[in-house]
Amino acid sequence: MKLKIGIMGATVFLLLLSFSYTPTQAYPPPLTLEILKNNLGWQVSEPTSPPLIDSQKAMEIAQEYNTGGAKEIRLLSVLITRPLSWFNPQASAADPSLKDELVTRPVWIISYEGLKIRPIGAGGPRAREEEMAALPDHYEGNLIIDATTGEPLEWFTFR
Amino acid sequence: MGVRSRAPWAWLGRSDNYLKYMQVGWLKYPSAFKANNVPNPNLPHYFFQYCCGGNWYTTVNQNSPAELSSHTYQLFLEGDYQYGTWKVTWDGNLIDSLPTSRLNWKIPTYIGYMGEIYDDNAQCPGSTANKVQFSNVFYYSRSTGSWKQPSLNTWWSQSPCTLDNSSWSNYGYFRIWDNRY
Repeated sequence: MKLKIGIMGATVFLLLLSFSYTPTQAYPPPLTLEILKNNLGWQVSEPTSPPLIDSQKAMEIAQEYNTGGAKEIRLLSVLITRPLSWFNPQASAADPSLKDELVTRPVWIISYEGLKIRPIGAGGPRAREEEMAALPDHYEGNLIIDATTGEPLEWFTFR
Repeated sequence: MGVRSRAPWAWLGRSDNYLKYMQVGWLKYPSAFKANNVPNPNLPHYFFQYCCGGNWYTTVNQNSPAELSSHTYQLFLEGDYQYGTWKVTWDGNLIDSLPTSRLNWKIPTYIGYMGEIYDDNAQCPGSTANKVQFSNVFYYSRSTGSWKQPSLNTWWSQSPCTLDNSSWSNYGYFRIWDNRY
């Protein structure tokens, strides 16, 4: 009987704990140049002048694309170095010699926190259920927009 | 292309673990794109994905392949397996660079190229009238220093995708489509 009471007591205690605790969703630390360099191997640097699309306008664009209902939106202004074809495949298609030419341009990286992103297609049709289950969901989607035109360039997720 | 989700792609990875891979192609997945804040979710987009055994990375480019168009995808290594960089291209456009240090695997042992769907209601890439054709599939063998045609692994094919591989051995191409469309 003593044991039974003990277990019930513990159960009540745990229930009380769970009701009294209000969890707050923990988001990953904000993106930085170091994270982009170290985690993704990207060539990025600090902007040398304010972008034409200011942070207020960038946030308006970010809200426009928040179709998934992210709970928090963060902005990071960077200079990114990529081949011209990444920025503008039409231009490099017209002159293929430009395809590999590296250019550096200002972009905004918009981080949407609180999404639930499944590892779509990971492992392909051959992956087993248990292998797929081992892959974590991501909770951050990132959108790169051109900081001069406001046009979206690329979306990515890695954490 | 309709609105249903599907993706044809090219793949390099390990045959002993299908979660060690990289793949490039185009992907159409309106519902997931919308939920994940990918702009223009109703369009197909070029994508690149890699997976390193534990975590995964996906990038979705804002450029879209046009209806009834042909494209070239390439995954190639600059440098060696230990310190080199994987380059990812579509139509010769470099869309991503991946240092080998980002992967917890080094030497690919498997080549894949096919299409897939993500749920039973999705449409396999291609329709009866407009099949998706995979051609000029080659890999470069560093050991022999020559280009080779990989074997066609038909077990990638999944219902409801229909596969016609009758021209593979003689002409080097195969087709897939969804015969419900």
